[in-house]
Amino acid sequence: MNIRRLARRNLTGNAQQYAAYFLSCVFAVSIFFIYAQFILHPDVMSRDIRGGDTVRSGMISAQVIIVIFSVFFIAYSNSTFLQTRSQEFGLLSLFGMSKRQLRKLIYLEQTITSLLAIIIGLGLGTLFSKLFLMLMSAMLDTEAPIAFEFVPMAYVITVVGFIVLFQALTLLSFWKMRGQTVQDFLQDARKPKVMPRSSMTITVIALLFLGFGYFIAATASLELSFLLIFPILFFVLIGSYFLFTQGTVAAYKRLYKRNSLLQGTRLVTRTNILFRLKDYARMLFLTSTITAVVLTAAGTVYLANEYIVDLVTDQTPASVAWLEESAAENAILEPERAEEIIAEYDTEIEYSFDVEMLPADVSISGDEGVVAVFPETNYNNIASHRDLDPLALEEDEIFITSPMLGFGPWTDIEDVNQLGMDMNGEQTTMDIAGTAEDAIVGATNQGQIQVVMNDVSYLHYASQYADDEKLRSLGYHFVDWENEVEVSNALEEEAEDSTYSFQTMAPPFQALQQGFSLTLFIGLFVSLLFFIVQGSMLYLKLFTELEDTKKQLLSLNRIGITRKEAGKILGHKIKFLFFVPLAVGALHASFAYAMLASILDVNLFWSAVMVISIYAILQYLYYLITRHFYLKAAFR
Amino acid sequence: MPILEVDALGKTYYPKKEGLSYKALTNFHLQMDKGEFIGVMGPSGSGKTTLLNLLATIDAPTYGKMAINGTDPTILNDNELAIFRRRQLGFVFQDFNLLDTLTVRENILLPLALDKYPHRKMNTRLDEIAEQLGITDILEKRITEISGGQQQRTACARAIIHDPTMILADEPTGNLDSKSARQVMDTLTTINDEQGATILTVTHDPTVASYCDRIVFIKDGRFFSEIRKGDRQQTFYQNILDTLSVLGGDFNEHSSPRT
Repeated sequence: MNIRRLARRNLTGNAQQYAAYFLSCVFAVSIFFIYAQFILHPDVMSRDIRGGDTVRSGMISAQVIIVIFSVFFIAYSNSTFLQTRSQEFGLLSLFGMSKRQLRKLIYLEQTITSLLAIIIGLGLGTLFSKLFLMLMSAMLDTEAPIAFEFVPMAYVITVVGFIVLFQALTLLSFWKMRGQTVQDFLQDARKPKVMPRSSMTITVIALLFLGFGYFIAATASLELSFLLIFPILFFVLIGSYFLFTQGTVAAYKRLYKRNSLLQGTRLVTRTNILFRLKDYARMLFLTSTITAVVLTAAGTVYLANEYIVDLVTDQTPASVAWLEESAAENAILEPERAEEIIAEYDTEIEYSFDVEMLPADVSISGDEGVVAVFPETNYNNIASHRDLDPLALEEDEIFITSPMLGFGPWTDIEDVNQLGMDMNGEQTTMDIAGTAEDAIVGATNQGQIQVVMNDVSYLHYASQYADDEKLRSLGYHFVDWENEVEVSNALEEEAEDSTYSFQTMAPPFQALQQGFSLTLFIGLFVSLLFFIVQGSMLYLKLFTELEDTKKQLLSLNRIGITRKEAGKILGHKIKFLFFVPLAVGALHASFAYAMLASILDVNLFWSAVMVISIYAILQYLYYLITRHFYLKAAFR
Repeated sequence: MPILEVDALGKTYYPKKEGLSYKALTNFHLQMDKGEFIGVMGPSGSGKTTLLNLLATIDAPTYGKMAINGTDPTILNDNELAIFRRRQLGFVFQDFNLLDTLTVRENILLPLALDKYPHRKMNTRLDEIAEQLGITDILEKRITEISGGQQQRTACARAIIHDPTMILADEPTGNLDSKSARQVMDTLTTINDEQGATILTVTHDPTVASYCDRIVFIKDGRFFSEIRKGDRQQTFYQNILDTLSVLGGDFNEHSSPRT
């Protein structure tokens, strides 16, 4: 039996012990590889990305985070793994194995493990890249903007990078082992647990750093925002790092002193966490940073996507809409013909309208303008299909609705009480009963300001107009409006002179969405990948301490502890690990949203709530899965 | 009424696949009164640990009946058993079974904390016991900072803190040097005398056994004989040695009987 064989035997014989460490390595390699393959993908490298430079620099910072994560994660698993085997090394030394031979043994074991991990990691990485792309295509509901492709460069970088990393870590462990005696080895495995220390000064400084970082973020202006990003990151990251290594310890120590500690399982749950906090701190820091990155990235992407949908739906009243310049004829498109075409395409109509309108000259904020006036009944008809509140106007009241409100002369319409109108010669001034920003009927040649009038008043003024002086807006709205591109195009082709008087929804929407899809894709890709990274880190971390947990459960079980209480003890620890990073990450992200909101001057509150809730739900699911498997493993 | 009644208790281990079944304990009877201090002795493989595990409700008997303070633990489900163990029984193990993240004080209070005892009650009880067992000075220390003997005395304190019906000790001195062993046995005697605790200990050490009021000998899973303490510990010790020599078998085991 030579050293090489012993090393092999150790690996096969201790497979159980190796499993958690090995899986951590495989996982780190796969993640690194998937990401490397993604950003080195020719389509991503060469294609035009919306918001180009920002997205690209975002992706590069994400890569940096992945590298830091890999190094930390593997270094951490490596050192805990070697520590658990310390006693074994002690025994071997006791039997007369020289230091040199021991080093050779460890070197061989580590090299075999790392090479296997790299190979399996690359294999899984390749497989999951493919699956990932399929999943994303399905999620985006469009063809994936990126096809699966082998990227040789990614393989090279991953293999070289990880070989260097593993070798460096092995050498580092030799350096740590120098001067250790047999006695040290034998005792290393059961190092006494010491009460972690915390410094009040550093905690306060950490809080000040965090506060300062948040303050800059919350008050940043558009001009300075690009300069400020790095100082903000600096303060927030340093602040949260020390908050975890010092602040959590201080907080838990305070909890520890409380009398309530001695009630139920709390005694065990709190001390369990307290004595591992130093161990957990780095991990919590990493996962909360990742959570913040994911939330910010996903939030920004989600917001941009929302913006696109709004852009189209706000401007266009229905899936297709057009304007007849004379109410007397159907010059653009016969409604019968339109319905024929719609039927040909088997398209389901949600509602349609055919509304007569009166053009009126108005003067607002010193500017001349033209509005289209139509009766309340028509408005209420359309409103009932669009989930808008119906109107009940008095005879001298009008309601103004247009996506153009807030622009040009209409900027301050909310502060104006009355509107003077020239209805084809007859002057009138009416009270403004309310305003809204929806497009109800099609745009006229002069713009899109739509005025709703009481039916009686409308009939009165309509008599001032000859039939060919009136306008008519026709429209059809389809049930599945987003995807009805073909029928919309067919209708537009059929229409005469469709330069400005014909509006469609689906084609511009699809075009915008396609153009945006790569950016969306990258955002979702990075978010999902990082979400998995942080969850799996916690998962693997828990499994590296499974042996300790089992020992404790056995002790408690002998004293007498119900399964429910045991579940509570384990669940508490898992909950702590899963939700503390979520809370801190969400806090970081909230300030990022606040910064974004103040720069873009929009209200992002509900979008932020939405993104954070979705993330929290996913994290909760991950927690449930982890809890299930961990309890199962611990009770075995 | 006796605290413990064991009636024709037996345990047979059946192999999971093929193989011979093994009768670890056969038709065993035992009665224990309140305040008694009983030692169970026997050679390796005689069924001592099986008996203890059955009494500790960690293992279920194949046949026979037992009642601890009138309750038959075999009819309880896992949850009820856990609560039963926690309230009715106190344990002292060879490997101490203390949690190393807790201080001595917290380890001792653990059974009370799990049952959500009021604070004042907890502390008065703790002070009283710590005083008796001479561990007041080390209450705030961590488990890793104290000696084996101190750890075992901590375990004794934990076993008695909730005033259990019966204390079960499994080779309580197996991991200790002779001086610490004596201290631990003195501690158990104190508990027995002053707290009126009912104690059953499994041991292979005649010196330890000589602290008991009564020794039950087992051989090959069956009751072998029983001797009672007279006036002098010295004669009792001699009696034990005599019985052991009749009993034969290997007594120098140091395998730690675990569950």
